[in-house]
Amino acid sequence: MSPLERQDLWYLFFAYTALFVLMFGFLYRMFQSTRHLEQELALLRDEYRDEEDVDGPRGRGAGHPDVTV
Amino acid sequence: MTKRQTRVRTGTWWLWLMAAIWVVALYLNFIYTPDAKYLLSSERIFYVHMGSATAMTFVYGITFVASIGYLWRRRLAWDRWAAASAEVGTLLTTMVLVSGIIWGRTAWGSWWTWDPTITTTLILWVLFLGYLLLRDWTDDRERRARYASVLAIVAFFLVPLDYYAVYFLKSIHPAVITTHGVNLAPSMVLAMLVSMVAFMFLAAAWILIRLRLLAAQDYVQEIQDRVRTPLDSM
Amino acid sequence: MGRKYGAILLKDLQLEIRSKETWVAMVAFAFMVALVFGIAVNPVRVRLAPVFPGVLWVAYLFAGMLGVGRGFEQEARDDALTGLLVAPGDRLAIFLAKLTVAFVFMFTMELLVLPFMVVLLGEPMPGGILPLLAATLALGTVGFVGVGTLFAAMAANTRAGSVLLPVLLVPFSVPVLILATEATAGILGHVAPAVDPWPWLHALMAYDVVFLGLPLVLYEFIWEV
Repeated sequence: MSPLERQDLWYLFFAYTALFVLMFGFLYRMFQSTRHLEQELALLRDEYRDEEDVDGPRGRGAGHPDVTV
Repeated sequence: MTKRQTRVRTGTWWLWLMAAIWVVALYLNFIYTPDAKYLLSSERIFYVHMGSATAMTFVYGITFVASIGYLWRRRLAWDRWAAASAEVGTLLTTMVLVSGIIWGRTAWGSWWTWDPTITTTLILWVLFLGYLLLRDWTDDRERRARYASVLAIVAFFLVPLDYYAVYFLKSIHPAVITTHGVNLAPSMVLAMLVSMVAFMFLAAAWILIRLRLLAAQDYVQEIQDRVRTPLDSM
Repeated sequence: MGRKYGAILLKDLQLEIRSKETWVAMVAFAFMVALVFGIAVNPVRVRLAPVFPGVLWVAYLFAGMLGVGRGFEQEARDDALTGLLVAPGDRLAIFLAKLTVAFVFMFTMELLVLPFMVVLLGEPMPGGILPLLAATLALGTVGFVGVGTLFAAMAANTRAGSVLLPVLLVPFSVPVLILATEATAGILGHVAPAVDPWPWLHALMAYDVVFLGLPLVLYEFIWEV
């Protein structure tokens, strides 16, 4: 491998690292907005908890028989 | 009345860990490893190819297990795992295909060959695009989970059959890991392994973020369903 | 179980005999594929005989995709499927009846289209191979219809189901396409290195077993009360 090729590889390394950092930035921002959303939903969940139990399986239960096809 | 606080996990250390591993992997890929004997620098795309292919296998494994889990336990959490992993798996399959096509062009001189492994990967890609379409086009949340699980399970049995059906064509895909051990220089093995780990971490981070977003989405849906009176929806 | 199966089978066949919707659409489609192919590929320049099995199966599978979805679409129209589901008797009967109907339609279509294909694409069909060829057609059709009925039942309840069904079915028809085409080529017997059809037929049988068995395990999850 000639020194010139070596240098090319360094450039490639930097280029791809820059690309990765860019994509990581997007990923990080996506995660931040997800966390933001989660926090707001957590507030909502706390408000609803007093009304009824939010956990447990969804569906209307035996009181509302319904055919799913 | 005491109000319990729902806690939101806020840690980001796993994202930073992923980033660090990636920089190391890129360094090993470009600087640490020597050129391959005949393929020269072009073989460096192999690390991307191998990494995404390994991560893809694991991620589709998660889809399969989560689909069985959903049909068994009927918890939407299982379905969210299946959905997130299928999305990430489709992206990884795209990476595998693109890197494979570019590599095939430099190594074999043709963009595409109808080799069993390559063809099966393409079929897998089409299959999971169909899976994502099915998810998107099924409106009822519970039914979406059910249908998607059924499709994922059938797909799991299709893939090996596809492979053996195409196997009768001459296989030219290089076997890097054979039963006789790994067929690479030691420094390349290190770069390959770190690359695999990096892709696994990337896939895991993606899946975790998607999971949390999907959970939030499901909860919003749940509230919307509750705000509507039962008579409306019947 | 047996009575419900018979009743649905009879109903669908009767409906088809009276309306002739699916049957005509499938045959016309397969015929059109042969026609378009014969025109698009210049038969003077290209020898059609080696590609004949491939064209045959492409026409069959696409026509089959057209037909396999109809069985559930017509039930969805007036929510008749709910009626079938809540009717007494095992639901396996519904699934098996729909599967049988789809098979009968597709297989009949194949037999009807075969002479057209042979004539249009100038296939020197040797006599005496018809029983084996018919068996190959039946095996390929079973493999296609088994998973096709499962997906048709799902597609009937999704938005744009008629678009979704081919997308889902194409990956699943790849093994059928390969195995059945090779077997057909072997039976017709004029490809350069002679192909033994039996390994392909055996593989096709194995595929049929897997992809008839899986839908029979999983169909329960499609309909739930």
